[in-house]
Amino acid sequence: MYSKNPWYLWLGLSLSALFNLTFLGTAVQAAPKSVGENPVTIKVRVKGQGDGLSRVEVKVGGQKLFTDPQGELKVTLPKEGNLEFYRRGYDPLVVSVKDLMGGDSKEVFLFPATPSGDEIVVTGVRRPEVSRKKIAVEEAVKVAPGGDPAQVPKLLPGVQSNNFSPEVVVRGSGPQESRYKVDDWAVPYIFHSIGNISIIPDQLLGDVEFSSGGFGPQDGNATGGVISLKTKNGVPERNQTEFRVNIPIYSSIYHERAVSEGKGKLAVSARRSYIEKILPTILKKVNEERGMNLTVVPYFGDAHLYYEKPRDDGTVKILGLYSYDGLRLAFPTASAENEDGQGRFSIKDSVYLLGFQYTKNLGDNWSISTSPYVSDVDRKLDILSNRIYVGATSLALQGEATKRFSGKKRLFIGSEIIHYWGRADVFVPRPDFNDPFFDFEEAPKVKSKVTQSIDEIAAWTAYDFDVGPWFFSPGVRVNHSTRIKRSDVDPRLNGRYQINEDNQLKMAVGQYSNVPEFAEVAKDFGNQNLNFIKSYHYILGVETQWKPSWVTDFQAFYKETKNLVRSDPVTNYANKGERINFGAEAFIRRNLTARLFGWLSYTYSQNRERDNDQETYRNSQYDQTHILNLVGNYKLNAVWEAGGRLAYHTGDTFTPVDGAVYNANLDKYQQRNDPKTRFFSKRLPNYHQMSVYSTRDFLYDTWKLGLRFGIEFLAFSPQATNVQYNYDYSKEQYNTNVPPIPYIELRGVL
Amino acid sequence: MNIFKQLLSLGVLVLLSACSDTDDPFERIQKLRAIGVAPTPIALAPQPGATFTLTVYAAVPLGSLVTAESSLDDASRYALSVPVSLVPGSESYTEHSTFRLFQARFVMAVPPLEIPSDRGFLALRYAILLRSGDEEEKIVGNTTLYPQGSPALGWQPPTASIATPLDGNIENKQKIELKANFSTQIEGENLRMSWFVTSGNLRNRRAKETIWEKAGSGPQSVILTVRGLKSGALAPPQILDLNL
Repeated sequence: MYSKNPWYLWLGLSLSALFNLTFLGTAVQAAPKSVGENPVTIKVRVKGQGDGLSRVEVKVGGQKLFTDPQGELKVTLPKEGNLEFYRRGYDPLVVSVKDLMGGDSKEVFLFPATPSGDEIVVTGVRRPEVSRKKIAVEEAVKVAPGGDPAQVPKLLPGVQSNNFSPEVVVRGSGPQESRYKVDDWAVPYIFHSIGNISIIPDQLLGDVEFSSGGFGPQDGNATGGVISLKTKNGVPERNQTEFRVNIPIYSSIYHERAVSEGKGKLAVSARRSYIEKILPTILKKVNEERGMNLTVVPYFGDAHLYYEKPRDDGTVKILGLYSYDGLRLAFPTASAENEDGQGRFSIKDSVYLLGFQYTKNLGDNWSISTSPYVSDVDRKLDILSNRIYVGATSLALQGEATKRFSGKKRLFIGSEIIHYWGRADVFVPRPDFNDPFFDFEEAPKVKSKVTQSIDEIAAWTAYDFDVGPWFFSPGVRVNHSTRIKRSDVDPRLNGRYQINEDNQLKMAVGQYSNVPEFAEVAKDFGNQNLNFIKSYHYILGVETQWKPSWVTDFQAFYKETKNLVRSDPVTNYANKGERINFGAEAFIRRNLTARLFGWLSYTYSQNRERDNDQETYRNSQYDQTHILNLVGNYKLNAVWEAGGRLAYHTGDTFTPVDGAVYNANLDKYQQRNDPKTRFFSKRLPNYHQMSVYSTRDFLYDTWKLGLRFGIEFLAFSPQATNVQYNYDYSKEQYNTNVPPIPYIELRGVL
Repeated sequence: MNIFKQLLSLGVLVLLSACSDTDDPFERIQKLRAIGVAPTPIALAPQPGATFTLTVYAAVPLGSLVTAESSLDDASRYALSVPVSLVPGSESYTEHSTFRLFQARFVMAVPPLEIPSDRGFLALRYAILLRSGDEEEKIVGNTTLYPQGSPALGWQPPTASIATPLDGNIENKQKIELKANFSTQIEGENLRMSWFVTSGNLRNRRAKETIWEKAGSGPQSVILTVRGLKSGALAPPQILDLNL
């Protein structure tokens, strides 16, 4: 098998030599002692796992025998000749009788076979929501940035992302306008700030669901999209431990095992960065070369405890999560306030979550799912002499009942009550988001220390039904927030029309609400009379199943958002901003087969915004007109895979600087723009980048070593990542300093 | 609170920006450059006839001339814009090794105003326009009014001096050590220092002690300014001429 491709053989041998490993062929343990007719128990196992392999066909002389459920076979060996082993999904193996002599039992390991062509492993599941896409973790873990499944929405239609921000923009809605969930438990964010990984390890995940709009009434407090990380269901067949070393970012350990007499699953994991140990060494050299005094110390970590017990009439799940991110930054800055001339930032962001989920069939086609949780978010930010310490502990009681009727008819009734104990201790300049060049050194500072308890209450219902080729899912959500002391009602409708066996027309329309952020309604520097932010989604699309392995999805969308919170000179903030997003999306997907999967996603969108209804619309902050992602992964054989991503998008918008003045009090230049210059009126150059990677599994008898290596930020020419100015803003230039970044990751699975 | 994630991303951008070269650093004097403005007195009580005198300092290449005129700055949301007027004949030049220091005085007549009780002071915005050939520099800043009896009315400007190097006897001309001495008597005052040089680069122009690298040979100059961030006061610029 290996000799068919010289390149493969060369690379395999090189890596084998590099890691002093043997991976060609299969292993048979113990050397022969003598040749003769002997009874022996042969244990046939999976190479790289050590698990017994049942129903293996063993040809001994003229006989055809099979291994038992434990993978064992008692056989009397002939004096000479070979034994042949066959099983679907594994390479055939021929073992000389001589190699099986000399003991009562022998172990034989079968090597996983090269996948056969087009066998479909997973296909997308058609869901009532028109803009929801479900990506299997098997796919996402291979192609997503950083190999992290939660990042895969960045590669889907309707999503804008930026290299240096882990957040996503969904159909022009900012990161804070989307909802993030782990199963049904809401989390404030799902991405660590560095490392291209989410706060949930991929081993815990089963699917990533992403809805770019038009979602049902079960999701509230979101006007953008919904990203939902679904934990992997089922009890593991074998205990498994995985160690992972990612150079240069982090390490992790994960362990899962069957518990409760094989009826439950327990998983624990922990990850911690060490880039904060490596970066100072690199910076020391940079500082010496460039005569700088720069300190950048990013760090993150997380830990998880997961328990699941499937029952005859439902499931019990428990998730404990702790995640933190931080950054310590010191660098020479014009705003330095100390004698050493350094500006210092310190940021630490942490979240705890303890969630419980219980699903139960009640009989008579009723089922319930309840998923209460307790979480705590704590954020500490020190910038120069300013501080923002905020946090909130929340207790959520939520559940949904489902009644199944005949056909596709289903009734959903749900509710949630979330109580927040919020806290804030701030000493900051009063923000003014109407001033594009707001200078925090000049603005008057606000000192405030508050605690606040608020409730957010919601109830919803939806009814799925079909009429001939039509399917409808109307729903309504009622929201009440004591944060703003207001209630509202959001009607929503999803529909599909089955044109023929392969084509579906689909549509969605709905109203979506978002509560203003805590700071915007804070007593000392907010406005307590703010209203819900409102968004109206209109979506029309067609989905086609061309072949079992090919699916296309084309959608057009129009989204209007009102009551956006903007600064106000009188009330601090007011619901006076408006935004319009419209465009079209194409998603051409080659479903996951044993060898190949991938997709092409393209989004065209126009994103316009205004700060009050007296203005005309201008570019919004997030306005990438064209976004293209081409993603692919190919399984070369049982142990080698390769893939890559190509991304292209229109340059990000920014507000140009038209001039500057010298501030004599501060000894620094301050940007100024002409009143006729509109916000976000200029763009960075269009952006492209490629990422390529390869993975190799080294299979040992009872464990596996996975190697993933690749290069990020490949480009045909230096790409602009941001705009920067000289000291007096007389020269504008783009930062194009991101080099291709190689990485290597080792995964040991025991 | 998306600001947290944005600030975390800032770390990466700072790192990238630090890796970019610039041949036009803040600290180098190669064209018309504002150096600072010293208000006298530092703070005033609102009373009829009260005036601030503003001494403007700027550096220009040898042989260049500067014109100064009053301007307005309406962009500030945090101070009241008040016009200033040039004191006739107050412009002067001091010649140094590779540049000339320009000075001029302006007067700000304080209009009848009330000090808002919530903040305890009132900031007045001035704007001055300097021109030299095709170059133009708009200088803005604040003076402050405090109520009668406020300790601020007795504030004195900080003092500053260049401690190192003391003279032109410098051993390592590739890495010249710069040290400043300074002091203030104003309680709670943070001082911001600024170094300017006529060639090369500074490791940190805001640091009390820093390294001057790649200085050119021959006549060179170092300028030190120290200002109070709370008071807005400026110590007279300290200038050291060297022959490297």
